Amino acid sequence: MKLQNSENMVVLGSFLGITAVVAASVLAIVSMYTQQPIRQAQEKNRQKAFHRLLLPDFDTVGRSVDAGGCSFTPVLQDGVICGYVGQSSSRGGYGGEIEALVGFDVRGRITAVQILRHKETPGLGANVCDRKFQRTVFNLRENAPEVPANAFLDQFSSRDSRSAGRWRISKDGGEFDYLTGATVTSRAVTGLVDRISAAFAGSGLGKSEGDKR
Amino acid sequence: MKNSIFKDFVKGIWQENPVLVLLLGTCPTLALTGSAVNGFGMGCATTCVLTGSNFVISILAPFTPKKIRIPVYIVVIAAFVTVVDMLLQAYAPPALYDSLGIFIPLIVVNCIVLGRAEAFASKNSPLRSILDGAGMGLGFTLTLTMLGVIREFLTCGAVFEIKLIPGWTTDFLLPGAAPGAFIIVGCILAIKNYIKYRAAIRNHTLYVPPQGLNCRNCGICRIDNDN
Repeated sequence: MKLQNSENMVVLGSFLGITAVVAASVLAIVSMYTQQPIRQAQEKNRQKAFHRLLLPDFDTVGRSVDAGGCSFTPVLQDGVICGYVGQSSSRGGYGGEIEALVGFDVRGRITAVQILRHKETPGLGANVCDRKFQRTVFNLRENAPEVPANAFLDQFSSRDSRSAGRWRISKDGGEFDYLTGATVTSRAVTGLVDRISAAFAGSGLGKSEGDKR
Repeated sequence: MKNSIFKDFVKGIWQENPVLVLLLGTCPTLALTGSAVNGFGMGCATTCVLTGSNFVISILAPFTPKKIRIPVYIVVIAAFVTVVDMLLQAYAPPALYDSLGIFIPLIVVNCIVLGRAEAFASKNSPLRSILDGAGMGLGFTLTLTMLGVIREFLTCGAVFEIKLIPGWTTDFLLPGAAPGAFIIVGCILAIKNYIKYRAAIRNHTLYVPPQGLNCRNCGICRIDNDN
Protein backbone atom coordinates (compact mmCIF):
# COMPACT_ATOMS: atom_id res chain seq x y z
CA MET A 1 0.00 0.00 0.00
CA LYS A 2 2.84 2.31 0.88
CA LEU A 3 4.68 1.49 -2.31
CA GLN A 4 1.62 2.22 -4.34
CA ASN A 5 1.38 5.83 -3.23
CA SER A 6 5.09 6.49 -3.10
CA GLU A 7 6.32 9.77 -4.54
CA ASN A 8 9.96 9.22 -3.68
CA MET A 9 12.04 9.65 -6.82
CA VAL A 10 14.49 6.93 -5.78
CA VAL A 11 11.74 4.40 -5.11
CA LEU A 12 9.99 5.17 -8.38
CA GLY A 13 13.23 5.05 -10.33
CA SER A 14 14.37 1.78 -8.84
CA PHE A 15 10.96 0.17 -9.34
CA LEU A 16 10.99 1.11 -13.01
CA GLY A 17 14.61 0.03 -13.25
CA ILE A 18 13.90 -3.38 -11.75
CA THR A 19 10.94 -3.88 -14.08
CA ALA A 20 13.11 -3.01 -17.07
CA VAL A 21 15.91 -5.34 -15.95
CA VAL A 22 13.50 -8.23 -15.43
CA ALA A 23 11.88 -7.60 -18.82
CA ALA A 24 15.29 -7.37 -20.48
CA SER A 25 16.44 -10.65 -18.95
CA VAL A 26 13.28 -12.40 -20.11
CA LEU A 27 13.92 -11.05 -23.61
CA ALA A 28 17.54 -12.15 -23.46
CA ILE A 29 16.51 -15.69 -22.56
CA VAL A 30 13.87 -15.89 -25.28
CA SER A 31 16.31 -14.41 -27.78
CA MET A 32 18.90 -17.01 -26.80
CA TYR A 33 16.45 -19.80 -27.52
CA THR A 34 15.02 -18.40 -30.75
CA GLN A 35 18.23 -17.14 -32.34
CA GLN A 36 19.08 -20.50 -33.85
CA PRO A 37 15.56 -21.21 -35.25
CA ILE A 38 15.36 -17.68 -36.66
CA ARG A 39 18.66 -18.06 -38.47
CA GLN A 40 17.60 -21.48 -39.73
CA ALA A 41 14.27 -20.11 -40.96
CA GLN A 42 16.00 -17.26 -42.81
CA GLU A 43 18.54 -19.61 -44.37
CA LYS A 44 15.75 -21.97 -45.39
CA ASN A 45 13.87 -19.09 -47.02
CA ARG A 46 16.93 -18.11 -49.00
CA GLN A 47 17.53 -21.67 -50.12
CA LYS A 48 13.89 -22.02 -51.05
CA ALA A 49 14.05 -18.83 -53.10
CA PHE A 50 17.18 -20.17 -54.83
CA HIS A 51 15.34 -23.35 -55.72
CA ARG A 52 12.56 -21.32 -57.28
CA LEU A 53 14.95 -19.79 -59.80
CA LEU A 54 14.81 -22.86 -62.10
CA LEU A 55 18.58 -23.25 -61.86
CA PRO A 56 20.10 -26.62 -62.78
CA ASP A 57 20.17 -29.06 -59.85
CA PHE A 58 22.61 -27.97 -57.16
CA ASP A 59 23.58 -29.29 -53.75
CA THR A 60 25.67 -26.51 -52.19
CA VAL A 61 25.57 -22.74 -52.15
CA GLY A 62 28.93 -21.04 -52.51
CA ARG A 63 30.23 -17.82 -51.05
CA SER A 64 28.88 -14.67 -52.65
CA VAL A 65 31.00 -12.09 -54.42
CA ASP A 66 30.14 -8.46 -55.05
CA ALA A 67 30.28 -6.99 -58.53
CA GLY A 68 28.85 -3.75 -59.85
CA GLY A 69 26.73 -3.08 -56.79
CA CYS A 70 25.10 -6.52 -56.88
CA SER A 71 26.00 -9.69 -55.05
CA PHE A 72 26.44 -12.97 -56.92
CA THR A 73 26.24 -16.34 -55.24
CA PRO A 74 27.47 -19.42 -57.11
CA VAL A 75 25.58 -22.69 -56.71
CA LEU A 76 27.51 -25.92 -57.07
CA GLN A 77 26.72 -29.51 -57.97
CA ASP A 78 29.44 -32.00 -56.99
CA GLY A 79 31.87 -29.12 -56.54
CA VAL A 80 31.32 -27.70 -60.02
CA ILE A 81 29.66 -24.34 -60.41
CA CYS A 82 26.42 -24.78 -62.31
CA GLY A 83 24.83 -21.38 -61.94
CA TYR A 84 24.78 -18.02 -60.20
CA VAL A 85 22.20 -16.07 -58.28
CA GLY A 86 22.38 -12.31 -58.60
CA GLN A 87 20.79 -10.21 -55.88
CA SER A 88 20.22 -6.49 -55.63
CA SER A 89 17.58 -3.96 -54.70
CA SER A 90 16.14 -0.83 -56.24
CA ARG A 91 14.49 2.19 -54.69
CA GLY A 92 12.57 2.95 -57.86
CA GLY A 93 9.40 1.15 -56.79
CA TYR A 94 6.10 2.85 -56.15
CA GLY A 95 6.02 1.79 -52.51
CA GLY A 96 9.69 1.65 -51.59
CA GLU A 97 12.47 -0.82 -52.06
CA ILE A 98 12.22 -3.79 -54.38
CA GLU A 99 14.65 -6.66 -53.91
CA ALA A 100 15.14 -9.16 -56.71
CA LEU A 101 16.92 -12.46 -57.25
CA VAL A 102 18.00 -13.32 -60.78
CA GLY A 103 19.21 -16.81 -61.64
CA PHE A 104 21.88 -17.29 -64.32
CA ASP A 105 23.15 -20.50 -65.83
CA VAL A 106 26.87 -20.87 -66.56
CA ARG A 107 26.44 -19.51 -70.08
CA GLY A 108 25.02 -16.30 -68.71
CA ARG A 109 21.41 -16.90 -69.63
CA ILE A 110 18.70 -15.86 -67.18
CA THR A 111 16.84 -18.85 -65.80
CA ALA A 112 14.18 -16.98 -63.85
CA VAL A 113 13.51 -13.79 -61.92
CA GLN A 114 12.01 -13.69 -58.42
CA ILE A 115 11.11 -10.66 -56.38
CA LEU A 116 12.17 -11.29 -52.79
CA ARG A 117 10.70 -8.25 -51.13
CA HIS A 118 8.47 -5.38 -52.22
CA LYS A 119 5.82 -3.03 -50.88
CA GLU A 120 3.92 -2.31 -54.09
CA THR A 121 0.18 -1.64 -54.18
CA PRO A 122 -1.81 -4.86 -53.87
CA GLY A 123 -3.69 -5.54 -57.09
CA LEU A 124 -1.54 -3.22 -59.21
CA GLY A 125 2.23 -3.13 -58.65
CA ALA A 126 2.13 -6.33 -56.64
CA ASN A 127 0.95 -8.18 -59.75
CA VAL A 128 4.26 -7.31 -61.40
CA CYS A 129 6.24 -8.76 -58.51
CA ASP A 130 4.29 -11.73 -57.15
CA ARG A 131 4.39 -15.20 -58.53
CA LYS A 132 1.23 -16.57 -57.07
CA PHE A 133 -0.76 -19.63 -57.94
CA GLN A 134 -4.42 -18.66 -57.91
CA ARG A 135 -6.48 -21.18 -56.02
CA THR A 136 -10.10 -21.33 -57.10
CA VAL A 137 -12.95 -23.56 -56.07
CA PHE A 138 -12.14 -25.76 -59.06
CA ASN A 139 -8.46 -26.52 -58.42
CA LEU A 140 -8.56 -26.84 -54.64
CA ARG A 141 -6.82 -30.19 -54.60
CA GLU A 142 -4.26 -29.50 -57.27
CA ASN A 143 -0.66 -29.01 -56.25
CA ALA A 144 0.67 -25.53 -56.84
CA PRO A 145 3.56 -25.40 -59.32
CA GLU A 146 6.87 -24.60 -57.68
CA VAL A 147 7.34 -21.54 -59.85
CA PRO A 148 3.93 -20.06 -60.68
CA ALA A 149 3.86 -18.10 -63.91
CA ASN A 150 4.03 -14.33 -63.98
CA ALA A 151 3.58 -12.88 -67.46
CA PHE A 152 5.79 -9.91 -66.73
CA LEU A 153 8.69 -11.63 -64.96
CA ASP A 154 8.69 -14.53 -67.42
CA GLN A 155 9.67 -12.12 -70.20
CA PHE A 156 13.21 -12.14 -68.82
CA SER A 157 13.58 -15.91 -68.82
CA SER A 158 16.28 -17.38 -71.11
CA ARG A 159 17.55 -13.98 -72.19
CA ASP A 160 21.31 -13.58 -72.52
CA SER A 161 22.78 -11.36 -69.81
CA ARG A 162 25.24 -9.97 -72.39
CA SER A 163 22.38 -8.23 -74.18
CA ALA A 164 21.53 -6.33 -70.98
CA GLY A 165 22.32 -2.68 -70.47
CA ARG A 166 19.41 -1.12 -72.28
CA TRP A 167 16.42 -3.23 -71.30
CA ARG A 168 13.38 -1.02 -71.07
CA ILE A 169 9.64 -1.34 -71.02
CA SER A 170 7.85 -0.65 -74.28
CA LYS A 171 6.56 2.70 -73.00
CA ASP A 172 10.18 3.89 -72.79
CA GLY A 173 11.01 2.49 -76.23
CA GLY A 174 12.15 -0.95 -75.07
CA GLU A 175 10.96 -4.44 -75.86
CA PHE A 176 9.34 -5.48 -72.58
CA ASP A 177 5.59 -5.32 -72.16
CA TYR A 178 4.47 -3.62 -68.98
CA LEU A 179 1.36 -3.95 -66.86
CA THR A 180 -1.22 -1.22 -67.35
CA GLY A 181 -1.61 0.73 -64.13
CA ALA A 182 1.73 -0.45 -62.84
CA THR A 183 4.13 1.41 -65.10
CA VAL A 184 6.36 2.62 -62.29
CA THR A 185 6.78 -0.85 -60.81
CA SER A 186 7.32 -2.44 -64.24
CA ARG A 187 9.97 0.18 -65.00
CA ALA A 188 11.69 -0.33 -61.64
CA VAL A 189 11.78 -4.12 -61.97
CA THR A 190 13.02 -3.96 -65.57
CA GLY A 191 15.75 -1.52 -64.54
CA LEU A 192 16.74 -3.69 -61.62
CA VAL A 193 16.95 -6.92 -63.65
CA ASP A 194 18.83 -5.01 -66.34
CA ARG A 195 21.34 -3.72 -63.80
CA ILE A 196 21.91 -7.15 -62.24
CA SER A 197 22.28 -8.79 -65.66
CA ALA A 198 24.66 -6.14 -66.94
CA ALA A 199 26.74 -6.45 -63.76
CA PHE A 200 26.80 -10.21 -64.23
CA ALA A 201 27.92 -9.93 -67.85
CA GLY A 202 30.50 -7.32 -66.87
CA SER A 203 31.91 -9.37 -64.02
CA GLY A 204 32.90 -12.21 -66.34
CA LEU A 205 31.60 -14.76 -63.84
CA GLY A 206 29.62 -16.78 -66.33
CA LYS A 207 32.19 -16.61 -69.10
CA SER A 208 35.12 -18.07 -67.16
CA GLU A 209 33.21 -21.27 -66.64
CA GLY A 210 32.28 -21.43 -70.33
CA ASP A 211 35.89 -20.89 -71.43
CA LYS A 212 37.10 -23.87 -69.48
CA ARG A 213 35.10 -26.26 -71.56
CA MET B 1 -19.29 -15.72 -9.32
CA LYS B 2 -18.98 -18.30 -12.08
CA ASN B 3 -21.39 -16.31 -14.14
CA SER B 4 -19.34 -13.13 -13.83
CA ILE B 5 -16.13 -14.92 -14.84
CA PHE B 6 -17.86 -16.22 -17.94
CA LYS B 7 -19.06 -12.70 -18.64
CA ASP B 8 -15.49 -11.38 -18.44
CA PHE B 9 -14.62 -13.65 -21.31
CA VAL B 10 -17.68 -13.20 -23.47
CA LYS B 11 -18.11 -9.43 -23.23
CA GLY B 12 -15.14 -8.81 -25.54
CA ILE B 13 -16.76 -10.67 -28.38
CA TRP B 14 -19.85 -8.55 -28.85
CA GLN B 15 -20.93 -6.36 -25.92
CA GLU B 16 -17.60 -4.56 -25.58
CA ASN B 17 -16.00 -5.63 -28.85
CA PRO B 18 -12.73 -3.67 -29.00
CA VAL B 19 -13.04 -2.67 -32.64
CA LEU B 20 -16.76 -2.19 -33.10
CA VAL B 21 -17.76 -0.82 -29.69
CA LEU B 22 -14.65 0.56 -28.02
CA LEU B 23 -13.26 1.68 -31.40
CA LEU B 24 -9.74 0.92 -30.24
CA GLY B 25 -6.89 -0.43 -32.33
CA THR B 26 -8.11 1.17 -35.52
CA CYS B 27 -4.61 1.24 -37.05
CA PRO B 28 -4.17 -2.53 -37.40
CA THR B 29 -7.87 -2.82 -38.20
CA LEU B 30 -7.50 -0.62 -41.26
CA ALA B 31 -3.98 -1.56 -42.26
CA LEU B 32 -4.01 -5.32 -41.91
CA THR B 33 -7.39 -6.56 -43.01
CA GLY B 34 -6.73 -6.49 -46.75
CA SER B 35 -6.88 -10.26 -46.69
CA ALA B 36 -8.49 -12.69 -44.31
CA VAL B 37 -5.21 -14.45 -43.52
CA ASN B 38 -3.52 -11.21 -42.48
CA GLY B 39 -6.43 -10.18 -40.29
CA PHE B 40 -6.47 -13.56 -38.60
CA GLY B 41 -2.71 -13.55 -38.04
CA MET B 42 -2.69 -10.06 -36.55
CA GLY B 43 -5.63 -10.96 -34.33
CA CYS B 44 -3.85 -14.03 -32.98
CA ALA B 45 -0.63 -12.12 -32.29
CA THR B 46 -2.56 -9.40 -30.46
CA THR B 47 -4.49 -11.99 -28.46
CA CYS B 48 -1.26 -13.58 -27.22
CA VAL B 49 0.14 -10.21 -26.16
CA LEU B 50 -3.13 -9.11 -24.59
CA THR B 51 -3.58 -12.27 -22.51
CA GLY B 52 0.03 -12.33 -21.36
CA SER B 53 0.29 -8.65 -20.52
CA ASN B 54 -3.08 -8.65 -18.74
CA PHE B 55 -1.89 -11.54 -16.56
CA VAL B 56 1.45 -10.00 -15.61
CA ILE B 57 -0.01 -6.55 -15.06
CA SER B 58 -2.78 -7.86 -12.81
CA ILE B 59 -0.04 -9.41 -10.65
CA LEU B 60 2.15 -6.30 -10.68
CA ALA B 61 -0.63 -3.76 -10.20
CA PRO B 62 -0.98 -4.05 -6.39
CA PHE B 63 2.66 -3.01 -5.85
CA THR B 64 3.16 -0.66 -8.76
CA PRO B 65 3.49 2.98 -7.66
CA LYS B 66 0.66 4.89 -9.29
CA LYS B 67 2.92 7.59 -10.64
CA ILE B 68 4.88 5.25 -12.88
CA ARG B 69 2.26 2.65 -13.64
CA ILE B 70 1.95 3.53 -17.34
CA PRO B 71 5.69 3.19 -18.07
CA VAL B 72 5.75 -0.10 -16.16
CA TYR B 73 2.79 -1.41 -18.16
CA ILE B 74 4.43 -0.34 -21.41
CA VAL B 75 7.63 -2.17 -20.49
CA VAL B 76 5.63 -5.34 -19.80
CA ILE B 77 3.66 -5.01 -23.02
CA ALA B 78 6.76 -4.25 -25.09
CA ALA B 79 8.50 -7.32 -23.66
CA PHE B 80 5.56 -9.52 -24.64
CA VAL B 81 5.42 -8.04 -28.13
CA THR B 82 9.12 -8.63 -28.67
CA VAL B 83 8.76 -12.23 -27.52
CA VAL B 84 5.86 -12.78 -29.92
CA ASP B 85 7.86 -11.12 -32.70
CA MET B 86 10.82 -13.42 -32.15
CA LEU B 87 8.63 -16.51 -31.95
CA LEU B 88 6.84 -15.56 -35.16
CA GLN B 89 10.14 -14.99 -36.93
CA ALA B 90 11.34 -18.40 -35.84
CA TYR B 91 8.27 -20.54 -36.32
CA ALA B 92 5.55 -18.81 -38.38
CA PRO B 93 5.22 -19.47 -42.11
CA PRO B 94 7.47 -16.96 -43.92
CA ALA B 95 4.65 -15.52 -46.02
CA LEU B 96 2.70 -14.59 -42.87
CA TYR B 97 5.71 -12.97 -41.22
CA ASP B 98 6.47 -11.02 -44.41
CA SER B 99 3.06 -9.40 -44.48
CA LEU B 100 2.67 -8.88 -40.71
CA GLY B 101 6.30 -8.20 -39.88
CA ILE B 102 6.34 -4.42 -39.76
CA PHE B 103 3.06 -4.26 -37.83
CA ILE B 104 4.00 -6.62 -35.01
CA PRO B 105 6.16 -4.07 -33.12
CA LEU B 106 3.23 -1.66 -33.37
CA ILE B 107 1.12 -3.91 -31.12
CA VAL B 108 2.98 -2.14 -28.29
CA VAL B 109 1.09 1.05 -29.01
CA ASN B 110 -2.18 -0.67 -29.82
CA CYS B 111 -4.69 1.09 -27.60
CA ILE B 112 -6.52 -2.14 -26.83
CA VAL B 113 -3.55 -3.60 -24.98
CA LEU B 114 -2.78 -0.57 -22.81
CA GLY B 115 -6.48 0.17 -22.48
CA ARG B 116 -7.27 -3.26 -21.06
CA ALA B 117 -4.21 -3.13 -18.80
CA GLU B 118 -5.31 0.18 -17.32
CA ALA B 119 -9.08 -0.29 -17.33
CA PHE B 120 -9.30 -3.93 -16.32
CA ALA B 121 -6.14 -5.82 -15.44
CA SER B 122 -4.89 -3.26 -12.92
CA LYS B 123 -8.12 -3.54 -10.93
CA ASN B 124 -8.95 -7.25 -11.15
CA SER B 125 -7.59 -10.65 -10.22
CA PRO B 126 -5.15 -12.50 -12.51
CA LEU B 127 -7.72 -15.10 -13.52
CA ARG B 128 -10.32 -12.53 -14.51
CA SER B 129 -7.65 -10.51 -16.31
CA ILE B 130 -6.55 -13.50 -18.38
CA LEU B 131 -10.15 -14.19 -19.35
CA ASP B 132 -10.71 -10.53 -20.18
CA GLY B 133 -7.56 -10.48 -22.34
CA ALA B 134 -8.46 -13.70 -24.13
CA GLY B 135 -12.05 -12.54 -24.70
CA MET B 136 -11.01 -9.14 -25.99
CA GLY B 137 -8.38 -10.79 -28.17
CA LEU B 138 -10.93 -13.21 -29.54
CA GLY B 139 -13.32 -10.37 -30.30
CA PHE B 140 -10.50 -8.51 -32.03
CA THR B 141 -9.48 -11.60 -34.03
CA LEU B 142 -13.05 -12.35 -35.09
CA THR B 143 -13.66 -8.77 -36.17
CA LEU B 144 -10.38 -8.54 -38.08
CA THR B 145 -10.98 -11.88 -39.80
CA MET B 146 -14.52 -10.86 -40.72
CA LEU B 147 -13.27 -7.55 -42.14
CA GLY B 148 -10.52 -9.41 -43.98
CA VAL B 149 -13.01 -11.82 -45.53
CA ILE B 150 -15.32 -8.99 -46.62
CA ARG B 151 -12.50 -6.87 -48.06
CA GLU B 152 -10.76 -9.75 -49.79
CA PHE B 153 -14.02 -10.90 -51.33
CA LEU B 154 -14.96 -7.43 -52.57
CA THR B 155 -11.46 -6.94 -53.99
CA CYS B 156 -11.01 -10.10 -55.98
CA GLY B 157 -13.81 -12.52 -55.23
CA ALA B 158 -11.62 -14.67 -53.02
CA VAL B 159 -11.79 -15.78 -49.40
CA PHE B 160 -8.69 -17.03 -47.58
CA GLU B 161 -6.90 -16.81 -50.93
CA ILE B 162 -9.29 -19.24 -52.59
CA LYS B 163 -11.10 -17.68 -55.51
CA LEU B 164 -14.83 -18.28 -55.20
CA ILE B 165 -15.66 -16.56 -58.49
CA PRO B 166 -13.08 -17.80 -61.02
CA GLY B 167 -14.17 -15.30 -63.66
CA TRP B 168 -13.21 -12.34 -61.48
CA THR B 169 -9.84 -11.49 -63.01
CA THR B 170 -9.47 -7.73 -62.58
CA ASP B 171 -9.14 -6.62 -58.98
CA PHE B 172 -11.46 -3.95 -57.63
CA LEU B 173 -8.99 -1.91 -55.63
CA LEU B 174 -11.13 0.29 -53.41
CA PRO B 175 -12.04 -2.25 -50.68
CA GLY B 176 -8.46 -3.45 -50.50
CA ALA B 177 -7.07 0.03 -49.86
CA ALA B 178 -7.31 2.08 -46.67
CA PRO B 179 -10.24 4.30 -47.81
CA GLY B 180 -12.28 1.19 -48.56
CA ALA B 181 -11.48 -0.12 -45.10
CA PHE B 182 -12.86 3.09 -43.57
CA ILE B 183 -16.05 2.79 -45.61
CA ILE B 184 -16.57 -0.87 -44.72
CA VAL B 185 -15.84 -0.36 -41.02
CA GLY B 186 -18.30 2.56 -41.10
CA CYS B 187 -21.00 0.40 -42.68
CA ILE B 188 -20.47 -2.34 -40.10
CA LEU B 189 -20.66 0.20 -37.27
CA ALA B 190 -23.89 1.58 -38.69
CA ILE B 191 -25.41 -1.89 -38.93
CA LYS B 192 -24.29 -2.76 -35.40
CA ASN B 193 -25.70 0.47 -33.98
CA TYR B 194 -28.96 -0.10 -35.82
CA ILE B 195 -29.29 -3.58 -34.32
CA LYS B 196 -28.62 -2.26 -30.81
CA TYR B 197 -30.99 0.64 -31.36
CA ARG B 198 -33.80 -1.67 -32.49
CA ALA B 199 -33.17 -3.95 -29.53
CA ALA B 200 -33.41 -0.97 -27.19
CA ILE B 201 -36.70 0.11 -28.72
CA ARG B 202 -38.07 -3.40 -28.39
CA ASN B 203 -37.22 -3.34 -24.69
CA HIS B 204 -38.73 0.14 -24.34
CA THR B 205 -35.41 1.60 -23.17
CA LEU B 206 -33.08 4.23 -24.47
CA TYR B 207 -29.93 3.03 -26.19
CA VAL B 208 -26.97 3.95 -24.00
CA PRO B 209 -23.43 2.92 -24.82
CA PRO B 210 -21.66 0.92 -22.07
CA GLN B 211 -20.85 3.17 -19.11
CA GLY B 212 -17.12 2.59 -19.01
CA LEU B 213 -16.79 3.76 -22.60
CA ASN B 214 -18.25 7.14 -21.92
CA CYS B 215 -15.43 9.65 -21.62
CA ARG B 216 -16.91 11.09 -18.48
CA ASN B 217 -16.81 7.75 -16.67
CA CYS B 218 -13.60 6.37 -18.08
CA GLY B 219 -10.49 6.64 -15.95
CA ILE B 220 -7.85 5.73 -18.50
CA CYS B 221 -6.34 9.13 -19.10
CA ARG B 222 -7.16 10.70 -15.76
CA ILE B 223 -3.69 10.38 -14.29
CA ASP B 224 -3.65 13.43 -12.05
CA ASN B 225 -7.07 13.13 -10.48
CA ASP B 226 -6.31 9.62 -9.28
CA ASN B 227 -3.75 10.71 -6.75
